[in-house]
Amino acid sequence: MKDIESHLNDAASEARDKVSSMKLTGVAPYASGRVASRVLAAGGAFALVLGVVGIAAIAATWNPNAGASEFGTNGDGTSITTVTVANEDSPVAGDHDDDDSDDHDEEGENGATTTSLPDDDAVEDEHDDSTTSTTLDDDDSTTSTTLDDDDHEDDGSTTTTTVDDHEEGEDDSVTTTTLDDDHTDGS
Amino acid sequence: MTIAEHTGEQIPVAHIARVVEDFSTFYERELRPVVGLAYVLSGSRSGAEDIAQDAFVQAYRKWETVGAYANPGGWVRTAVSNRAVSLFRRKSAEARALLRFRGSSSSVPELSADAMETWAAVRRLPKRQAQVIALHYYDRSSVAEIAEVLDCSENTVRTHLRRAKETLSENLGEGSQA
Repeated sequence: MKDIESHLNDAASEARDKVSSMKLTGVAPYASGRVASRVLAAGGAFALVLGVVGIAAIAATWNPNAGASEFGTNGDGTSITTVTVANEDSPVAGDHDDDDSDDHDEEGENGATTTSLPDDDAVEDEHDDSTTSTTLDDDDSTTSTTLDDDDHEDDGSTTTTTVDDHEEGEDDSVTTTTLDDDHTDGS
Repeated sequence: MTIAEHTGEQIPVAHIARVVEDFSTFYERELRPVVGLAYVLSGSRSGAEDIAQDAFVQAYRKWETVGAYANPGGWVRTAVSNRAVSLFRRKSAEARALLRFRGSSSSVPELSADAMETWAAVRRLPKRQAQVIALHYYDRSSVAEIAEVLDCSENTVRTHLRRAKETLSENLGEGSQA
């Protein structure tokens, strides 16, 4: 039988052996600063990457013309509106976007302007004499209407053109052009 | 040449300004024994590491003061032995469960049944008696060193030792002798 002294000495010796074989996982306090700086550096780099990715994602999806309607198409894509203006001094108030800027930036060889137009007020103030509306029911139909308002001396003239590209005689495509030039003759 | 020989005066040891040891050297030397002390008093290996680590962090923060003590290791042992006993008292059931769990998963061999039973009996002793036993048998501290760590007289330490061994001999078997 062991006495208590032997019990304690044996238990202590065994515990020391066990502790000496332990793999201690603690970080020395004087090294914690270095560890903390590395963790902070890694965290900062990660945050930087996140920021760059976030900005790139926002830039990729951001539309600067959000809310502006597209020129020349309607909602279901079955209608095309084409406006050709022979006189560059007489902008035509057709379908246009809602952008307030004056986008007379694409000028053809003959002075025709086919890009977006100033807002309604600006057009009316300058030259509100031509309105063109073209409706195509058939996807195969394309209609181009050329207006030269200098040649229209009569006021309130209305031209209706019907295009029938089907030989069966069905009126699948109707183009209606309304010209109301109340500036040329002063009537 | 000692200070007394150099100055020709007898200077009390307590008044001699101790050269502050480099903390890393102190840490490397004392970490494992201090973890072991916490281990036998708490019964939890991971808890012992945490306790020891906390104590060393505290010592590091005020190392200019602690490092100038005559026995900075004693300062750390005081903190660790108090916390280890408190941990065992507070979470004894959890610590025992952890010990059993680690017995099946740890790569480090656990203590023998006799040793585990002995330390379990030590941990059931009153706080001061358990600390005295652990410091005396595991840490091999002298009575004087234990008195310094526990901030009590040497006679008090001897009393705690005697009573602890009496209780342990009763609890560990009829054949044991105090």
